[in-house]
Formats: sequence, structure tokens, C-alpha cells
Amino acid sequence: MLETASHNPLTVGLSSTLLPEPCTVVIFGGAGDLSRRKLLPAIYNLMLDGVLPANFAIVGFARTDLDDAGFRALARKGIETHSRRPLDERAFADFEKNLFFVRGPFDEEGSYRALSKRLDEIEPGCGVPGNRIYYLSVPPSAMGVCVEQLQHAGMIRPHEGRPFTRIIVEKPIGNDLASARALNAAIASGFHESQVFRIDHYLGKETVQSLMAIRFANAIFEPLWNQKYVDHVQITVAEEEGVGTRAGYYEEAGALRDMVQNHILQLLCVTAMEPPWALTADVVRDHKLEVLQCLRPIAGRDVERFVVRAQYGPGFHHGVDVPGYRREAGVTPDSTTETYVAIRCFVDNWRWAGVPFFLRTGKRMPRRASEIAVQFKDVPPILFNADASNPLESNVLALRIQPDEGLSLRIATKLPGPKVRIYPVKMDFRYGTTFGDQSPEAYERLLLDVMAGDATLFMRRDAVEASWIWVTNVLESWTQSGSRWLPEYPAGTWGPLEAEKLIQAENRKWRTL
Amino acid sequence: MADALDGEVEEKRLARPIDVAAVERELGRLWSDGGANGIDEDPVTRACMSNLVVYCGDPREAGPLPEEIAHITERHPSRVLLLVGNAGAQQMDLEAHVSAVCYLAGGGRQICSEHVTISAQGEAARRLPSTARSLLIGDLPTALWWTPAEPPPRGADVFSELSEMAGHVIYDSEGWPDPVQGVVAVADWAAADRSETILSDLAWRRLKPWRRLVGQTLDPALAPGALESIDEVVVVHGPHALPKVWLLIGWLARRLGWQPIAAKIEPGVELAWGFESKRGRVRVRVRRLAEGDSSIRRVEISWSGPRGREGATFVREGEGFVAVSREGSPETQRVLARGDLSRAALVARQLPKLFRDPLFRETLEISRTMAEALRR
Repeated sequence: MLETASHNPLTVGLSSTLLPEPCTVVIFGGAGDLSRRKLLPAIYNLMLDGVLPANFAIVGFARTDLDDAGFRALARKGIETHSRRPLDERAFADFEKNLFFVRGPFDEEGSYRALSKRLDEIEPGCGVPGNRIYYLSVPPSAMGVCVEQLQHAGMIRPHEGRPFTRIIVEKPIGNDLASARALNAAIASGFHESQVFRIDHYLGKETVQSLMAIRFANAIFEPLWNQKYVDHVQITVAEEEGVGTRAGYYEEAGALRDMVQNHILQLLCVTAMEPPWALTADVVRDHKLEVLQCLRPIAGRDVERFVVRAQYGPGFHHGVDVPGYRREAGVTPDSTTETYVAIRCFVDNWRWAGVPFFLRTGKRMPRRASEIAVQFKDVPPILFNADASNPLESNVLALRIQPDEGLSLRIATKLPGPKVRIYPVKMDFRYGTTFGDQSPEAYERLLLDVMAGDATLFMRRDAVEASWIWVTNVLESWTQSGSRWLPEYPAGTWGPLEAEKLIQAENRKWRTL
Repeated sequence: MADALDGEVEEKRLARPIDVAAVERELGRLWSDGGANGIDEDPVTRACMSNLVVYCGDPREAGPLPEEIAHITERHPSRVLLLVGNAGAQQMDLEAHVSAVCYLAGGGRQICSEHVTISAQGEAARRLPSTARSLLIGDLPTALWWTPAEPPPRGADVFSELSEMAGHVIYDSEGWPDPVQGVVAVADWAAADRSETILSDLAWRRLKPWRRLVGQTLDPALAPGALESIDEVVVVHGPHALPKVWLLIGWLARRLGWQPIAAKIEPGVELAWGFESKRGRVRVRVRRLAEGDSSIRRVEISWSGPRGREGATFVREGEGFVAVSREGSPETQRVLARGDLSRAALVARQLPKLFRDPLFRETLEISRTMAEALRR
């Protein structure tokens, strides 16, 4: 029914899909890799799905020498190569009408005057009532100046009312606690926290979103989801590639900053959080923050006991010789940047007391695979598990994030035949095969959420800083140790011996992915 | 099977018809040893999210169904029971075919669904529901796709029995020969249904892009005051689309609080209805084109705004798009992809729905009121 002028009764019941308001997305770094490979294909697919606002504009903004036509050509190429659905000429013709480009360096006032003027020209023609999203696909060092210039140019509207202004910030949010705080402060000088969307594309993945549903939409898991029944949890993010062309960034970052501080800790939060009392952004994010606050600090001499870092050495990748990290282009020959981290940590609250969480991430591993595996405690050593020399395999609930998003549950069953022989079998569910529809790319979901103003899947400032506090303890310990050498693991293997020892010390073993 | 290309659908079936009682056994054999002419040695994944019972009352209309079903199960793997009745046949006969329909998913895995076709001649057609009942997989949702071009309740006992075993009934009001009678029959059935059956009209699903675009275009942020001030709607459609038009108008009326007050059949091919909104009278005119497919071609919505008469025109463009333009500002024209609106795609999208759609039910009620007004 028609209640107020601002309420749109015609959108009620249309679908569960968010219905965003007409808006302009300004992509800072619009000519870059992320824009071409992910953002433009994502927006195109949203349009094909009919969930994009009817009236929208996409404006690329960068120093690159491009014009509207060049930006449209870049978008076409990006969609042809990276879109999950093929380019449809008719649809693209409509899409590209809404693409524009403004050229200019991010640190010059004149660029923002030109951007503002162009937006004022574009938006009425596109039917956009001034709602703007600034997507900062720029290095962290440029973010502060972008915000400052936007503010100076009067391009940020107050957080209440309409039209809205929102900002999307790509990781990394800082390089340590101090720089993260400084960056957050710079963003906060221009934007209210409710306008800020810190993106972690892992949180847009179907399995990660599904984890909450698995936990809280099924009666059978949540009662077991605690220290009474869970033996331990393993979270793995394995990459196949080496450092590639990102040596400049990676040398400064390393695996702990690049993967653990954001993706892995976010996965840990979704796994360990208490049931939220509502699925609203702040309630969910409050509960995730609590996990970070309960994470036992690892500092001083504990770092050696609980954390393993390593570098990949020479080895094979799909049968081809590949160099070790220190021999990669752009890497210093005596680099101590870690390409692998394994951590044993604990969430010190009532639910998880004493349950170890094993986290690991690395480059040049045998295959690209990310998963969360919850391993349950063994059955008592009687009946089928009476033979101490051949203990039964434990039940494992594994949630695969990539590739082949899905989940599996390992259970013990009896092999057919007169003898009593127990065999572990895997009940396997894959999104790609159970549901015929293609899952949207993470960026599609996340961009749609920003357009609709839903921050549930985005990191809040306090959570980012809490994760940096935890990680910075480890970083500082490493710095103080002054180590000039890291353990090596051959490229194409699952990590160093030290990581095996880390988990074996607890009579457990890493899962083979 | 191994030569199926990525995304291609391939069917392997037993060459000979089998006795209905042997269906489960033959399906089991198909999975366990590939059957006589069935699945080869390549590993396959049997996937099943639902039972899908497809009813077709005339063998002559069953032609496109196997292909459509294959596309449905690619998106929503199911055990499919295709029931083909031929009540007018002289002989009495009931026979079954079983097959596995597979497509190649990523990583070389083949995903297969079970398809069972049961053909009934003559009096045996009455046995189709009971046969289907015995072949449903337990503990899975069951949907009935009613394919005849007549309203499901007109299917009498067969529909009654099949709908009892299904929690979800899918039908298509597009193409009904007598739309007034059809809409009233379905609305009556829905009102009397006490088993919480999910009802899906594919015509309602086809309206989704129209509804989305109308909703977005008339959003208060873009067209302040438009929703409250609409006073005229004109819909132009092809033949056999009247139930769909009623659903579109019914949706607007329901969401905007209009009350139907009168209907008029004007000479030629135009129908008119009057509604009462909070601001006054809303005139709805519906014009049927003599030729073409049964789609909505054009919707014009007008209102009195601060700048005088304003309006938006929504036009079907080609096969896959709906375009909109605002009166006086042609530069704001926008196009929305309608997506794949084939029957198979629509059924596949409806199958995962496990909840009733109250808005559809409410809209159906207004459709009934509009239809009944024409009888007076």
C-alpha cells in the first residue's frame, strides 16, 4: 500500500534481490586491472540480471590517457574476456551508453573540478538524481588524498538524506595498525562510517554467505558448533601462483598482511561468531567483532610457538620448473618476506575454549583451494572405534570457497559385506552442480549491496583495526627477531616441515585439498 | 556420454519401453551398471533437488517437452515424471521409458537427472496419477507442471489427484482460449485450496521485468508524486495475453490501493476498466492487436504532475528487452534485459520457490474481479 512519498510500493514483493536506487559509480583507477577484469563485468552482469537501477552511470577516473570511447572499448574487452556470461551486442550497446571517462591525476584539484563538472553534466541525462558511489581502486597511499580532494571539491554529501554519497575502499586497509588507523582517520575526515564500504571480496562468495545459513538455518549443526563437539578448525587459503608481477607490493606485504589480516580473519569470524539476533549490518558486524576481540593475542616468544612463516623455494608448477621466491623478478635476493604462514590460535570464549583454529595460507601451493574445515571429536574408543591402531576417521564438515564452491560432510559407514568394515564416505554438495544456475561473482553481490546501502558483508572500521592489532603483534615480533632466513618449502608443495610440526604437536594433521 | 560438450545436454535412454512396475528397477540399473544402452563408464553425478511431474493431456503437444525438460533439469536437477495422456485413444495401454539426461559441468563431471516418461492410452490415462505417486522420491519437494493450454482446474480429476501430491503447481495462463473462465476457475481453486499449495503462473513470471522497470521508473526519487497521481494506464498486447494484462493491472491496483469499480467492452478490440484511487478515478484501457505473439507490447502510464501532464511509456523491444521513455525527456530512455523468457527457463526459475507468493494471490483476486466484470 502507498504509505509515504519516499516509499515505493511497486518494489515490494518483486524478489529478494536488493533494489538499489539510481546512482553513478565513479571508479578511481577505472582503467586498471580490477576495473577491467572484475568491476565492469560485474556491473554488466547486474544489468543483464535486471537488478541494476534503471538509471545509472559508470564513470572511470584515472590518469590514463583515455576518453569515453576508449573506456567503452576497455569495458568491452573486459566483458568479452572476464564476464561469466558472454557479451550480448544489444545489451552492451545499452550498457556502454552509460559509460564515461574523466582523465586526471588523483592529487590535483583541477581533476576533481573536471570530474565534478562532468558528473553534473552526465547525471541529469542518465536520470541519476545525484547518488554517487566512489570506488577507490587505488593504492592505499593514494586513498587519503582522494578523500581529501573529494571533500575539498564539495563532492561528499552528508550521510543523512538524499542524494547519497558512498565510498568503497579496496584492501589493503593499511600496512599495520598505525597506517590502518591513519587511513581510517583520513576516510573518516570526509565520510561518516555508514557511508564507508571496506570491501573484502571473500565475503561476497556464495559459500561464505552460505556458512551463516548452514549454521543458523539447520537444526543439526549449531548444537555441535562448540568446544564440546569440535576438535579443531582448519582454514586454508592456498594459491597456485607465485608472486608474479606483484613483487613490488608483495615485498612490503607478505602473506600475513596480504591474506591473514583480511580474508582469513574474516572467514574465522564467520565461522566462530555467536548467532546474531538479526541479519542487519551492524548486528552481524558486532558479532564478528566479538570474535576478533576474543582472539588470544600471540606476542613475544609465543610467536615462535604458534606461527610458522616460510618462503617458497624452487620447484615445479604443473611439471614446469619455477624459481624460488628470492629469485623472482622484483624480489630482493635476501628478502625475508613470508609467502607462507601457518598459525595455531584460540578464540577465548565459552563456545570455543580450548579449540585450536589452524590457519594457513601460501603461494605456489599445489593447487588453488580455499576452505573452512570443522573437524569433530572422535567417537569413544569402543565398538567400531575400539582398535587403537586403526582409529576411525573423524567427521569433517568442509566448506569449499574456491574452486567448486560447496560443502562436504565426511561420515563413517559400513562397507557392504558380511564383515564389519567401516569406511569414510563424503557427502558432497557443489553449488555448480546442485543448483544449475551460475552463482554471481562476488563483486556483483558486493556492488549491488553498496548500491542498496547494505553494509552487512563489508568490514567496519573497528573490525579492521581489531584485526590489525592482532596481526601487528606478530609482525612486531618478527621485526624484533631480526631473522635473516626463513624456512623454505619447494614450490608446488603444501608448505614447510615446520608447519607439519605445528599441527602434529597437537596430534592433528593438515587436510589434503 | 563422454562426447557431451560443456553445457550440452545429452540423453541416454533405454531403447525399449518397459513395464511401469519395472521403472525403479531399470533406473537403478541405469546407475549401477550403465544399463543396456545407458550410461557408459565415465563417472557421473546424480543430482536431484525435486520431483517434477509434467502433465500433458495430448500426445500431439508433447513434442517439445523432452527438450524443454532437459533444459529445466540442467538448471534444477530433478526426477522428472512426464505423464502423457491420450484419453481419446481406442486401446488401453500404459507404458514407460526411462532415461538419464546428462550435461557436462566444470571439471569434466557429468551431472545427470532421471527422466521417466509414462504414456497412457484410453482409459489407462486415469491411472497416471497413481503411477506417478509410486515413483516420487520421498523427502523432496514435488512440483506439478501443468502444460495443457487450459486452466488446471479444468483438468478435473487428473489435476485434482496430481495437485494433491504436489506442493507446487506451475501453469501458464498465456494462450488460454477463454481467459475469463480460466482466471475465475484458477482464482476459485486457489481460494478453496487449504493445503498451502504454491501456485505459479508463468505469465506472472514474464511480467517481472515489466514490474521491475515500472517500479524503478516511477520511483518517488525519480518521479515524485507519480505513484499517487496515476490517472490513466493503456496496455497494448498481442492475442491471448489478457490474463497477463490483468495480472499487470491487478498488481498496480493492489500495490497502489486502487479499487475496481467498472468495466466496459468498447467496440472493436478495446476493453476499459475504471478504478478508484485515493486521488480519484484511474482509467485503464486495454487494446488487443489482431496479430503477433501473445506478449505485452506497450504500457503507457500517465499522471498529473507539478509540470502538468506527465507520463512514461514502456515498450517491448525485440525478443529480450523492455525500453522506457519519459514524456518530455527522451534522453532518459532505458532498456532492461528481460532475460530468457522461454517456457523452460521460466519453469526452471520457479522450481526453487518453496514459499507461496502472497502478492500473486492478491493480484489474482483482482484479476478475477476484472474478469468477472466483463461477464456483467
